[in-house]
Amino acid sequence: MTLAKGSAFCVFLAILSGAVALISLRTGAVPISWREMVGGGDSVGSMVFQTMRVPRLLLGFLCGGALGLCGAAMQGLFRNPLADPALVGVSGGAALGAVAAIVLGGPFLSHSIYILPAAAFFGALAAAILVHVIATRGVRVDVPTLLLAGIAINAFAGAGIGWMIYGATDSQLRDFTFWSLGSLAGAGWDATLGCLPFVVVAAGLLAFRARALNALALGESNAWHLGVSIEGVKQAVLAATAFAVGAVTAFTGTIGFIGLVAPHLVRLAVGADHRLVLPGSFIIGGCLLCAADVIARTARAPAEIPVGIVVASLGAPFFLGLLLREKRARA
Amino acid sequence: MTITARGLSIVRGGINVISDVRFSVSSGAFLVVLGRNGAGKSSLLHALSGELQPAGGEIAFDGVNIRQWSPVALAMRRSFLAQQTDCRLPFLAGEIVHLGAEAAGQRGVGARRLVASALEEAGVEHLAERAMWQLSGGEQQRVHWARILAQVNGKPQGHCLFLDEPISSLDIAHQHELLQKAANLARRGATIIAVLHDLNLASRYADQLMLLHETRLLALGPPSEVLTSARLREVFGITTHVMPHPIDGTPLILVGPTTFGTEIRTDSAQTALQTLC
Amino acid sequence: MRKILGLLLLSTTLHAATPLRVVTVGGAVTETAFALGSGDVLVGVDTSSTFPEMARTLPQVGYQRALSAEGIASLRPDLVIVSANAGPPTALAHLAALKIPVLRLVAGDSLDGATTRVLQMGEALGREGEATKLVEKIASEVGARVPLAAHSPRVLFVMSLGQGSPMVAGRETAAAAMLELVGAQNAGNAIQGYKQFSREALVLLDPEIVVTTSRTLAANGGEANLAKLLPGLEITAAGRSGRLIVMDDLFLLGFGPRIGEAAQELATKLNEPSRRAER
Repeated sequence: MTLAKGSAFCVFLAILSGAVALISLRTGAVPISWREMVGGGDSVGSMVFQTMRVPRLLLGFLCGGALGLCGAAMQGLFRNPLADPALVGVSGGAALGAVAAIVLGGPFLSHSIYILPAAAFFGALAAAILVHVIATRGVRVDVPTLLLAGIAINAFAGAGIGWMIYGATDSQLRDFTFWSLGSLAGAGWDATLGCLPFVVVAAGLLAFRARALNALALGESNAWHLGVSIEGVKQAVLAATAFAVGAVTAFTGTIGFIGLVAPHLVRLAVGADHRLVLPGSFIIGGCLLCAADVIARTARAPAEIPVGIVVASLGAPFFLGLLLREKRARA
Repeated sequence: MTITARGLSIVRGGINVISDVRFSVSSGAFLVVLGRNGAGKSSLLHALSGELQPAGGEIAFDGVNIRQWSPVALAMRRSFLAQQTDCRLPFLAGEIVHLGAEAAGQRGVGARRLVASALEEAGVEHLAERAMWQLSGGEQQRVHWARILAQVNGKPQGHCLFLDEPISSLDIAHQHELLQKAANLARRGATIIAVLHDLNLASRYADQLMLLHETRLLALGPPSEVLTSARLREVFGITTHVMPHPIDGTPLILVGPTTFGTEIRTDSAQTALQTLC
Repeated sequence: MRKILGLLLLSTTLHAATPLRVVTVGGAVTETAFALGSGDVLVGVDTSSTFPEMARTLPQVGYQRALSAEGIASLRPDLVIVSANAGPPTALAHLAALKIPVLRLVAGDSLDGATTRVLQMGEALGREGEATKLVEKIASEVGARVPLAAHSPRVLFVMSLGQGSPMVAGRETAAAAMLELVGAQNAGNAIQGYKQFSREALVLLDPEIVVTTSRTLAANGGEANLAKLLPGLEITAAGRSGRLIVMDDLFLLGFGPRIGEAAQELATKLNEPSRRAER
């Protein structure tokens, strides 16, 4: 990585996120004037701006960013550009927690908007801890075992979800379906501020791990010989993923794909150096989710499309196109 | 750097691969470990470098138990080149060498300068901006050699290099070039511990050879003492003729004319074969 | 939550003026608004609002459990009436924060629930007189339904959301409540909610009549296929007599203003002799 390329990329990221933020704040079902945006006041427009648009943009950016960041870290840990936070069972655990809250929480669910996110978060955390315990031999975390344990935990969560769905009423079933499609519709200041500390902790855990992840690309043995405490990196990546993806999934439901596509885009632009890939994936992931959300809330306004659907239906063809272009370039 | 092993035994997958090995090498030594496939050469290297926890015995770097060294401090004093290194993310060759410079504690301009000189020393400066996946196996290995050179940080005195079959992907010119550079580092005070399969290369560049056989240390000493026909027959089961190299007098090993004697099969194997028939 | 409740109370007491821009969420809610003569003040409905035909032409605010506060706000309503099922809670809280009155109707698949909701809406829409008349009409329709013949028949209600594997209605479902209202036995009462049923259990239940919704039938390609989807049905009483009743989903299960009509029609159909016997 040359310095020039790195700084050009940073400028690009700044312009991109500014543009996405502006578009996101300007578009929506309710027309909002510039004066209402800047001046405040208590007109419907400025209220919508303050209580919905701004927190929604921030939540989208936090969640997309966390998914991109954790995706990049996971890919570094597994040394595989196809790795994804879902691999270690975090998403499965969150989904099981969410469906349990929806089906069993019934009457309590309406008391607090935090019950569903809390259940999803603890589900994610429990899955991550379980996977970690299973894959730990002595003081070492065995990465292939981690992967297999993740698959097993996902299957187990799938079974649990199946049981819950079996016992669910029609409307609970619909609730879970919509939750699993992912949406930022629940965004308000409480969700945004609820999500923030977890994403900050995750970013903090990964902030100084870029060099270690770079070394880990050469395998655990070489990383160790390059002075990396590999167990520390593994624990940090796992903990960060459990925290951030757990919290994000809790507040927005399952949103796939960003963890895969954001780091891929960054690597295409600036290569594999995690000092750029980690922050770059955060910003690109955040921009992707916010951009998809603009479509999700305007395409069928006044109704709203679950953003997960938008992400997948725009992201998948785009990603395929990229793959084909790369294939041609390599041929 | 002086490396000492006492009563070292290593178990891998429940099988004893090294039992009760003791030796010491000091600065300036170029030690080559020889032995059959599966003799525990690689395991020995990984244990000596601190990566593999031995089942018994202890290893000391400069008299300090290796467990008391932090990974970071260790990385500044020892480096490890594997036979082959996979890199599945799209790193550039220069970025790989940069990892070595960072391990040596260099950052920023210092690191970039170190990377440039290591690339040049390994003769791969023209590959710096190429992605690793675009390079051939041999080119990749030379980039990793440059990474090791960066990790040495121009201070071979007090540094130990572990080279695990470092030349198996290189052409004959680059094989000699790498070993010659390693020997130069030893001359400047580095400790080199390498695993090689080519007996003649070992004999040419090493000043000490270690012969491992059936988990034990069979012989340790200068090439002229270690490389004898009898020992090679015992370890490898081949018929060899050892003669002094016509130019520098190091032992030159010629194989044949009849490569395998009946000794290749141990008695028990032969009995087993007979029972089967 | 408490905030919403507080606002609800406020909205019902302070909102003396007749609202002019109303969003209704829930099929039966929209139906009731039209039945009370307030169809012309509706500015938005949810996806389940399929009756009357007029409702389909109004702007859609999405699925009733995945509402968008900004989407609803963009219609500038002065009243939002939602069914007890509506959500998510955050969206409703956001509407409250925008000072848009939200009326959440009481829950309950029962005659009582249905009439209470009509009265709630009548008050909110300034149509108290119409609401009282509608409640009376419902009561008389339910009272005037044809009484079921000699014994109450064992009725199996099946429904599927998409294609394949129909679900049987158990206890605590709208279908069970409707069967109870007309005095029929719900054959699926052994289970709770909508569940898939094994063939053998189906034979054991031996329903005399099968009731399903028109959407289920449409999704599965007609009556002939339904028999295939419910293997074992042919050896039950219902299968042998061929007694299958098909009714519209919202009409039969909505517990809205047409509950009386629905009860009448269901009772009449349950009393019809078997088609095969006729032949």
